[in-house]
Amino acid sequence: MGKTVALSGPSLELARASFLEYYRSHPPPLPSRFLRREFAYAPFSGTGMRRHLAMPSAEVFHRSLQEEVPRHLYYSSAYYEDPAHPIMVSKRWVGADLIFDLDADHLEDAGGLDYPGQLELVKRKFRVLVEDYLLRDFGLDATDVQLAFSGGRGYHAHVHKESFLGLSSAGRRELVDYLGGGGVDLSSYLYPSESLEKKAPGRRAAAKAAMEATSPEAAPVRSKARMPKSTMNELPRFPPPDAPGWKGRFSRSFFELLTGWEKMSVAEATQDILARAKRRGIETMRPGDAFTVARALLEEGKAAKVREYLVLDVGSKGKTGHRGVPISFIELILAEGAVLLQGETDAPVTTDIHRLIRLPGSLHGGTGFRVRPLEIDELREFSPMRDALLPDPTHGRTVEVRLGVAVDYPLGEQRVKGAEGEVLSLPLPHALFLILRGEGALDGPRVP
Amino acid sequence: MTDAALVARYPFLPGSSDLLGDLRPSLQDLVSDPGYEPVRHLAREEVIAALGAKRGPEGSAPSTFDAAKPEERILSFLYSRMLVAVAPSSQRVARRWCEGVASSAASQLGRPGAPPEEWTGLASSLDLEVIPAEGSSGHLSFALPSYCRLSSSLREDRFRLARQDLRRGWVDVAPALGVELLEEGVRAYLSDEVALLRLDPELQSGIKEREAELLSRVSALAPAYTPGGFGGVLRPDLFPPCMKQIRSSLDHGQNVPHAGRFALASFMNKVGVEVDAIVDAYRGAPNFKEGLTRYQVTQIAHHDGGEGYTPPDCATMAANGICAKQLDEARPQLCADPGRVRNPLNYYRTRTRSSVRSSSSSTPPPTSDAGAPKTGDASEAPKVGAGAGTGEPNAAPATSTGPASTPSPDPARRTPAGAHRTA
Repeated sequence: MGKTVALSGPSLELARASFLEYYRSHPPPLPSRFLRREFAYAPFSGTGMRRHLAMPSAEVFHRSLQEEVPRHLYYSSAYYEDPAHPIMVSKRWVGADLIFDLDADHLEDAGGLDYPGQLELVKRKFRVLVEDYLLRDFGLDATDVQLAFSGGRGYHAHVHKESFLGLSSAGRRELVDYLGGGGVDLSSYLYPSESLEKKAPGRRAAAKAAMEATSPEAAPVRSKARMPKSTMNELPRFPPPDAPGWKGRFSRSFFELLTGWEKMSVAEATQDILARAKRRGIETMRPGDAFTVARALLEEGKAAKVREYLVLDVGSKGKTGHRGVPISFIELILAEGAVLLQGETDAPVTTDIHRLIRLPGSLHGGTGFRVRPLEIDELREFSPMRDALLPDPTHGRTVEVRLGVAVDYPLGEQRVKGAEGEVLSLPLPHALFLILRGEGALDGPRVP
Repeated sequence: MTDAALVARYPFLPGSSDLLGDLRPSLQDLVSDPGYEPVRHLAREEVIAALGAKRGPEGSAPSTFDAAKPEERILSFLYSRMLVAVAPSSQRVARRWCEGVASSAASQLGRPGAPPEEWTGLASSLDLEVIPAEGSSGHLSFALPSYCRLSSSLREDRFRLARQDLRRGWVDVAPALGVELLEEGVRAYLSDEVALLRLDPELQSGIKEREAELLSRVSALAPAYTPGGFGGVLRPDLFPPCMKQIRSSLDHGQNVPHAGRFALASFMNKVGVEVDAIVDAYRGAPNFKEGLTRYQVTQIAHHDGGEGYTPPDCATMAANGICAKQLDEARPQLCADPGRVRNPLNYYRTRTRSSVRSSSSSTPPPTSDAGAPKTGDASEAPKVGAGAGTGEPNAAPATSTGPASTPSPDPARRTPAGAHRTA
């Protein structure tokens, strides 16, 4: 839910009145199978949550929204025999939508970004989740998946396809783990015949331990642990880029890297290889190795050869006449691949088969944004700061907001900018955004 | 493959008894009518075979069973199930029996020349969506949800979805892996079936009386469970460093995170510490509440029919920040060897064994005292058990989802907002 700022006085009144007006003029549609779902309201005042509500009809639902005016509105992803029963086991679970939640809170690289920047990053990753994983790998149709902007800092995908609804929490865990490549051994893709399992069970277990650890530092350890002692006898081979699952994904990501290098000169590519190695903590990458590889790829036509034959033959001639690909370069390929292996969805949301989730069409009580249902095609152009703003019931009348902190947002069609203590005259949806985020309070008497 | 042919080979499949039609006897007749003695005889043999069967080809069904007619096999299966249900410590017997029957079904499926329709037919009667893969490789394609249903109970890495060839919602697997998955499907189906079987008490005592001899053999074949297989004297001094550290933190009244509390309780249970002594280990914790702790420890110990939860693997411990391998005092250091120690239990097992070998004459320190010295005043109960779902292996669905799934006894229907998991 994220933190919700407590409101009081005229700010509270304004927010509540605005939500009431919204629910009166834009009553959210009930979700599919609504008779089997639990609903829950978090109110504007107080800390409790009204749970275990059942909605027998749209009429009852909309009336209750107008009576209660919830600040946050949730429904259960689960279906129950008796959704209103206050004891969970007595509700009798019959199934649950499969939910994926991608939130800026869980993105490692979102830390340094401002709110709009985080929203943009999370949207980009969400599109990958939907297009590459849900539609391509999981084979879902666009009609099986409902997408929504959460109104806060992320996106939700609700899968309604019948065959997924009965999956247990453990079965859902398998799907979530897939997103992060859980259990994948990248080096086995490059050296399918290299049987380290037999040669060095300790190493294998170390690799496995690293794999199971969720910390990102584990990635380089994993690559090193599975490294063959020499590449002299076996040149690394890539799976075909259209291979199913992670095999193809790994190759595609390397070919993207390759495409980047092909646009560079040998010197630039050498620098890029060195810079990447440094970033991934591969200390053994010597400038000479990077140069050898870059020259082989770009000047000796080996880049084209990899694409055509999927064999990475970029080594220098050794004393014995064999060619060896520098181990440090293999390490780099694996480390770059391991970056893909960071599942960034909020796993507990997917594996919790009793989860409460925001109702698409409701309002987010921490921003005033609409929890916007989205078509897959809409995603590319969708911008929450512009498209999720509350519809303005007053048609442009403004209210005065005194800023508690300095702000600077592109919001709707305008830029909301001001210093701490400044009073801004803003349209209602803009004012509400600042008030609900706790960045400003209503100044002076409330505008009706 | 016709249903009849399929059922003749796999008489446990759902709907098999429908094929008996009017020939289906009452349960009472099955138990006592002399005419069914051959069927009962078959069932006894089959139960013994299934319980003796370790996983693998030697677990195949006995030859008399192979020679029996389809109706006899179906009836025999029905009677076997009743035998298992009334056996002493029936949960344990049932688990072994389900594994045995599944294993013998897997040998049938894996026999040379088994037609692909047999695999897909069996899968479909277990409500699994499986088709022969494109091409003539003998591979099978599992629909994604069906695959996840099966693989999620199989813990080895090779079953992980990310390792499979997943394309457009279908998982392509090689025949051998396919058989293992279907074996799991059979096992899961059977254990649901046995759990649901309700026999009236009169019938039960009838069976017990008539089958006393068999039932005592059954008990012997599925011996009483010794937690974690750790016999002998308990050696807290040989506990792995992580567990020692958690115990020591609790003794010193420091707060231990949920994952650590869960790990310690599941570990102690597996090495054979009694519930009372496990509860004692938490007395030093801040805000210790005996009732709640006892409840949660009991939940952990009784999980999965008394097997208890397995403590998290070392990698999970490390990810949760509660691995303490730097404190490993074994010589040579065991924690540094992930080939031998991937779970805290491996550490303890290895050390207790080598300790027995190296000093069979010296007296080991005594130890019913796995419980902690009672320091500190009182405290929050360990949040073990409930909410264990996200990381712990084998988490039971009932305890897997944290507060949102925790039974709320409060009909006033108003609970603190922080207690809900929402997204």
